[in-house]
Amino acid sequence: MSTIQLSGSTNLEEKSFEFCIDIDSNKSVSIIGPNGAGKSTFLRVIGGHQPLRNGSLMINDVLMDAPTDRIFIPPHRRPVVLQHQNGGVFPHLSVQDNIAFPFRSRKCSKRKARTHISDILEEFDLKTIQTRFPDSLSGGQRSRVALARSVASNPDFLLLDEPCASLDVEATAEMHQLLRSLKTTLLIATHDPVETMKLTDFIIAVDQGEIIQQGSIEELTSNPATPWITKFLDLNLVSGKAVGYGVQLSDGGHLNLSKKHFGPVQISFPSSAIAVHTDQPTGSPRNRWEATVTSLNTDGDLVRIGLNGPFFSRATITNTSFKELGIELGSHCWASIKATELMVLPSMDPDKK
Amino acid sequence: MTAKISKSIPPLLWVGAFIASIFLIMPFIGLSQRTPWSTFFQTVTEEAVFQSITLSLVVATSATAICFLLGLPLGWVLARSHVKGLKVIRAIVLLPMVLPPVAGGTALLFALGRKGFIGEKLDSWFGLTLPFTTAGAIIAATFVSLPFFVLAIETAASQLDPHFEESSLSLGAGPTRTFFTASLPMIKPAIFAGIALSWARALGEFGATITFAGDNPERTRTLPLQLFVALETNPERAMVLGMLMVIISLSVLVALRGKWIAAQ
Repeated sequence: MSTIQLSGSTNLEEKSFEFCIDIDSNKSVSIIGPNGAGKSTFLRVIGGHQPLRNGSLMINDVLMDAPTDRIFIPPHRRPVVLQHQNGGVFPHLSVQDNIAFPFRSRKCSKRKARTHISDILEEFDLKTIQTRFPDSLSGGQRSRVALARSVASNPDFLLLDEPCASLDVEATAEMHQLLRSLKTTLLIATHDPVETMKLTDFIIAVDQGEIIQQGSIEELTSNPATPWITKFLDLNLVSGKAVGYGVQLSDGGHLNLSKKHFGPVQISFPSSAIAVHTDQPTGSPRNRWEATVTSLNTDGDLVRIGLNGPFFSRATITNTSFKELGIELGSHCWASIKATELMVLPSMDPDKK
Repeated sequence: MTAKISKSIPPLLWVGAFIASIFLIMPFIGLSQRTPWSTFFQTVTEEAVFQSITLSLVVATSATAICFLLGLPLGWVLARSHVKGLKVIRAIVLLPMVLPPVAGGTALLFALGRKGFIGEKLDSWFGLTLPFTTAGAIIAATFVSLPFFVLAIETAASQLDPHFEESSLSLGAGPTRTFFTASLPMIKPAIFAGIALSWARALGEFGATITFAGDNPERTRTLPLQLFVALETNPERAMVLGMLMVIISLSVLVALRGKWIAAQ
């Protein structure tokens, strides 16, 4: 098992950052936070592109950065790879030469490198475009090359700075599928809650240069430290198979869509879009299901309710409605949501995970 | 995609632009009309002329090679380093671009000439004298063309997205390897542009050469010096030499346009 132990601070353009965290390679991690909160800086400190001002960073129990002891292991000797938002694919090298880059850098024997490269080209479905240059590739293909090249470097931790920020919906779904299939532990700085829920099991929330909360998605949603986290994670994500206007969910249950879709899909909807009722509701919402209240959290004027029905979901309602409903833990209730509130994301393999 | 913008150009600017282009093109028309084309090849192959052509090529190419070896590191450091006082150095480095070449040659003479503070030691320690030698002509040409190369590299290096170099480092390539396998290939267009510009500048160098290296028919009389001498003694030869230099410079420009400048 690989580990990262970081406890230190750094300065960048008159802003100061303070990070204190232990990470191990059992779980993939999302780093979330508002713009400028320090997500990228956090990754850059670990990757070695931003030196610490104070404190220390250890990776796999080896000191990487300790300014007081004048220790600084440069990026190329760290067991991590930091992949930038744009991928950093070299425009002057063909796809296969880009993939070969980490092998050449680590002075791997040519024969060994060639078999490795061939395996990776195969794994990332790049065989057909291996002689092409990045300029002639689509955004999705380019990010696949970037990811393949990072994986070729065989890092203990793969640090990704908003890997899908510049991709369209289709390419993002493809990228998510690839990322999920990797064995490498991921540290992803992201502003996409879907990415967080699909790809990672642990969340580090940063704000104003500090880690303000860390924990599993459940821990953060049931007790978020700031309104920003609440808003960010205010999302339900279910997967299933669409046939026209209907979706058969993989956890069981059925949802009605406002537009036709076919094949595997993922559906996200904000928790605030769910209405909670004590009796079977009537009216316009196309989707209604019975559920049991499994968790209740009050946050100011809002109450977050965990609902276990055919599938698990989270609802957010006002304190006033909550009191009127008179529900409590274990209560039986009905939930409803309008079909127009469901956002459909294309997915390659909803059955996985 | 910008074709429609021309509609908004005030007529007055058209007039100015027309006069300016005529002014720039006119001398070449004049020169090409007077050039004795029938004896062009014959004149070019005359021994004295051929010698200065060869000398010019040697001087310009050597100067460009030195520019490459020295200007590349300097341009890179100027673009990337945050060391204090670098701005002053940058200004001094670019001085030969705006300095009249005669003044540059004079400065070289007082530094590297036989009685200059460095030249004196070169002479007494190694028996080396630079004035009136081809090496002196190369130094004069390097002095005036180096800033062009430095500037080309500096601009490209500061515009290069640092993410590429960080990616290279992150993927296990050390700083030196990153420089040669990632950074340098990505500024290749600028390197070629720098080579072409400094070569052209070195080829045309006159003022600094004649002040510092003097006029020696065999060792320092490059094309521009030969042209200057011919104006007094052999106007026909002067026209041929003038036209020859126009042709060479034009080829450099066309080469730059076609590939390197557009590629940036």
